[in-house]
Amino acid sequence: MIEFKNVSMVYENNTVALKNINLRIEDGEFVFIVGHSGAGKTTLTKLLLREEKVTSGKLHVNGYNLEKIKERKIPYLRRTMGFVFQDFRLFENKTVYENVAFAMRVVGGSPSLIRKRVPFFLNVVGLSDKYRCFPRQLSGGEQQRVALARALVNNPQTIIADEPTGNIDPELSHEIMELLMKINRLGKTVIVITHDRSIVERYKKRVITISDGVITSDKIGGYFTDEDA
Amino acid sequence: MKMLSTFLYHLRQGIVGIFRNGIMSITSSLVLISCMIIVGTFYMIIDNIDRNLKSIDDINIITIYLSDDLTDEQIDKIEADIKALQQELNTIKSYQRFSKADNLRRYKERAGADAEFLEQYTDENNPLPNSFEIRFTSFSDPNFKMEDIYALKNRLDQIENIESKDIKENLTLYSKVTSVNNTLTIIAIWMMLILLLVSIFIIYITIKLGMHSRRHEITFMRYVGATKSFIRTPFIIEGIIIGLFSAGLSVLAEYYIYTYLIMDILTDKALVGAETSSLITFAPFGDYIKLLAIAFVGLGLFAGIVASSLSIKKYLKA
Repeated sequence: MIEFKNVSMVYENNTVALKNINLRIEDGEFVFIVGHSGAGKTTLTKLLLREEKVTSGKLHVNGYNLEKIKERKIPYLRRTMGFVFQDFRLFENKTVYENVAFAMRVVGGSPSLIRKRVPFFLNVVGLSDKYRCFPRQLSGGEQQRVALARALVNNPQTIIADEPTGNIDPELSHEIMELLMKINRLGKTVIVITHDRSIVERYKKRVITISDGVITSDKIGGYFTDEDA
Repeated sequence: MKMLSTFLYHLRQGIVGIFRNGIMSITSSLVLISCMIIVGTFYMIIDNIDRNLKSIDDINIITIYLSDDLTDEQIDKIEADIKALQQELNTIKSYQRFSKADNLRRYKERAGADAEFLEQYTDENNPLPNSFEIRFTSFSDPNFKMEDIYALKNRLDQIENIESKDIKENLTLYSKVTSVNNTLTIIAIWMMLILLLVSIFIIYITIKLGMHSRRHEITFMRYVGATKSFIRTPFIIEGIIIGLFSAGLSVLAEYYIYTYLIMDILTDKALVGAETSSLITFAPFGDYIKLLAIAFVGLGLFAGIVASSLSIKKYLKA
């Protein structure tokens, strides 16, 4: 469960990024967060990752109290979330298998567990036969699926996808979205940050619109107006 | 099992890191090795000089030669005064009185095979004087103070019938050699500090370059929830390996430097080409190997860990 209570975030240079945000995302929800660049979406993710600290208000993420969390606990908070980025952020010098395994390895996963889980999640995203490929040998859509497998492999509670379809052909975008839906059906909370109207409109899910650091709308249904975006 | 596999993972990452910046790693090692070799070589030279100095038999003895004019009663009086002085000051460890005859016998003994020319001297024409030998606190004693010995000498001088010119000691030799040794020690310490700083700096740069080339990996590791220590460990291991590798090579290098260079040159073997009897005797390298190994490993670990810890800091904001 993610809950923002009167959260404001002001950067050191006095830029106000978020103003008095109130937001609650239940476990197992599927949520779009939309808004144009500079609206505060990035700040929102930084707060969730506890890369930045809230200036005021309360923020609870998957059982952690983020205003009070001790620094050494931050890695464990982050393990409750899996991230997918617009630019995939795969390691070019690692194979598909190694990319996914690496995410497990760095949180101390044992080799035997890695050998079990990596093929399983590669199967979930439909890339079992490409485990020996390097990222450059894959299409954008395939690379993003590797990134999804990597985000899933540590069994996080929440998947946060930042513009997951931004670098992918429109025809292939829905493939990624279908995968995210599938993941959601498996019980994970999925948060998709995007400004791709067509996607948001196609899936009738909860849409939270942020504009100039304020939540301007929070509705179920695939629509948002031009001025919101 | 999990700990072992994590350790092996870190170890492999550390080794990979060393090869990633091969030239820098070698440079770091070379500077660290020069630092260690300078420290070690200076130490062994200083220690050898010191040992040789302390092993000179009569180095901590003050000898008082007595005038032949003195009567036995006067000499007894002197002995009583020395005894009183021994009770008053704790610098006198022991004293011995030698008659003219004692000294002639001792001299003959010491001369050994060359003693023939001494045969002409008997108790009647004995040219040697009566004497006292006063053994004072050993130089290797932690309580030894040069001033105490000068004070003792002063007091002996005040005893009736003892003349300053007849009091003989090796204090000047000792203090001269000691001051040379102290100067060498200071030079060695400074060189060590400077080279240690330089090597820490170079290891720091080496690891920093490695981190820079892996910055995306580090960022990703932080996002996925790798702990700081997990991210840090391979780089620390990289520093430790450079340190230990340098320590190992330095001990080996010291063995060759000591046995083939220093011993040969200082005993003139290299120049004369034969086993000439030398004034200086050298301690075997075995006497030093343990100390050097411990010191080098310590230095290496210190440099490696300090340098790598410093270089990681920037990349490890939460």
